[in-house]
Amino acid sequence: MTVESTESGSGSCTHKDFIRLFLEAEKDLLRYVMVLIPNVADARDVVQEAAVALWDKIDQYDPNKPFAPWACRFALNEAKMFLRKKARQNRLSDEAVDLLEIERMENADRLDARKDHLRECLRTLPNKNAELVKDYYFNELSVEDLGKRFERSVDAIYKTLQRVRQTLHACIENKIQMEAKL
Amino acid sequence: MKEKELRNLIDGHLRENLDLASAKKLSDHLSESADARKLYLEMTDLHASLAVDEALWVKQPEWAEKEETKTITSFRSYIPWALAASVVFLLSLFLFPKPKEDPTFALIKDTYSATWEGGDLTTEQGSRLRDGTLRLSEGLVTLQFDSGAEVTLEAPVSLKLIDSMKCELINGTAVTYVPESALGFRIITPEADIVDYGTRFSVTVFEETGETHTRVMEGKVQVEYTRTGEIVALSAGERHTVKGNGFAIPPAETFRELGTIPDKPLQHGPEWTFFESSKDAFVGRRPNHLFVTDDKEVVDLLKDSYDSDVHNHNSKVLLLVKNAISQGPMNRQAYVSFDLSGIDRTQIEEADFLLHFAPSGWGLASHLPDSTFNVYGLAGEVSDWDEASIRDEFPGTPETVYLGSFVLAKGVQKGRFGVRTEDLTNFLKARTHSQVTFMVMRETKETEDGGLVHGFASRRHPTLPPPTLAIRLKTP
Repeated sequence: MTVESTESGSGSCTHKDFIRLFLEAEKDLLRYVMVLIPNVADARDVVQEAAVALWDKIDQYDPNKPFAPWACRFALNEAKMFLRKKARQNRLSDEAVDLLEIERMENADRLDARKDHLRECLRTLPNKNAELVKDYYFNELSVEDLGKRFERSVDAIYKTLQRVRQTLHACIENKIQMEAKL
Repeated sequence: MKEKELRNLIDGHLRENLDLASAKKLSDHLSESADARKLYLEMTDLHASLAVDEALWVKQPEWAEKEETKTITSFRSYIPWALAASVVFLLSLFLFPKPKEDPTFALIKDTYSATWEGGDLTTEQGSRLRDGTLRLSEGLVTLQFDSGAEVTLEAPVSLKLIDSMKCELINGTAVTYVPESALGFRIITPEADIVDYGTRFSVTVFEETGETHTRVMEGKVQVEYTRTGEIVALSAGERHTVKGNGFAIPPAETFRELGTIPDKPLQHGPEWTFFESSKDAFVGRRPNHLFVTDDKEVVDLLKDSYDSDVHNHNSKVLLLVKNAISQGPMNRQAYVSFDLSGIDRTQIEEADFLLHFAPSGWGLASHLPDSTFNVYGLAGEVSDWDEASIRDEFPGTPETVYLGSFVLAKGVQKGRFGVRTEDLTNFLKARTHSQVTFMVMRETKETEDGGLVHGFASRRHPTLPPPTLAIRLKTP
């Protein structure tokens, strides 16, 4: 990915370029942040903070290199700062977080490949589960609302969501193994 | 730790309900075990992808789904299929008689309000098509080529079918979808070939000039100039114009009125009185380009070439109406006034407000479903407005009274439409001012940028009747 300079000197990135690059990378940044912060609303806040940090440091960015990997380091850093600020006692240990951060970067391609299978696997879900998981993730309904809608307890909804994620994980695993065999 | 326990801990983390002891247990295990970290990363990324990737939930067009299921990532996976295919092919040589060659290569998939003229091919929906020419005078028609390419024709249009990977657009607009199976699908025009590399794009050819407009909605397209061999690559969101024969007629002036609107007799007897509009104009910007854009940047770019003197006053023929996805001056509503000083308003028994629609030549009909138009009467303080100076907004802040609606089906761009309601009659009776003014707007929004701009004849139209108010008074 290269950046065309329109405002400042050669090799630098204008604000317009930056916004384009950031928007292109935003989903990936969210995926990185959510390794440490599973709550999507918190993750979005963190990515917003990361955008500010990125723009401050944009001089350090080499426009001849891909933007996302460079930006993801900042996003993960912001995520760690967020966790510290929250100082939740029940958060993951620093040691675990550091290892996960390194391995998330190392496994980027592998996780992208898994993600490519996700759409197909979603289509194999039974209708009821597909509807539930779409309402939760895409329509962003709360677990309480889903409980009312599907006439089930909140705990049962959480259990179903867990089961659906396991099913999708197994489906992806299956597809990866099939590919490897061929 | 057993995998089940690990999975439960990861799930607790995703739910954000781990207690201190569980969080420590998970942290310790993640620090110790690479396998645990692998599973953790996979599960959290699955959760994150579901949460942030909207594309997962959007239903793909049929061809994209087919394409996806066909995706094979390893060359080795081709081998058994290739072998099996060879065996079947060899067997077929010996066992089955050679089938007659089928000359057809496309299908009429959908038609909307289609009227055909001339042409040498069958035009029923579902018909198979061979090489030949189709001429569509009204409506929308979608052709499905055996290669997988889909071409939607927007009347008035003429298209010559050549084979499943090629057709020639003689005049009019064709919107094309090309899946991977039809990469390289080619639309030949008088001045250039447009070659598609997996995308959705539209091409319009003006028969009079040969001018060719290409607009890419998705993917990539290549425009190859026939005369010079010059090649221009276009990406999503880009447009390109090939001038024809040096006769560069600005698209804003190429009014494509066919003049074939059937002059249906008015359903009004001798007791009806007809009033022609005394003033009519539209608010919103006059399109400067064939493909009216809602992209603010493009609108700003076009602003410079926008001549205020030739606003709608100079658009002598049509009053334009549009409801775009976004707000802004590309949205247009028409205003029509009548002078009713000659009649006793209290004696009105019935009224009929009539408009004659005609193709505006701007925007794509494919980007619009059946369209509902609403007619409102202006009440309260209505200024004595001036046709020539009206710009992006109607002067003052008059109240609007809903009077009725009518619908133009998808693909229909011409014909007589209007409202004949009790609300209209009551409105006319209640207004005491000699001048009554109506506003016409399209309630239906386009489904995608660059949708059709509807137009109906103004009082300056050379051949079509102006906006008309037909009134029947009580018989004495």
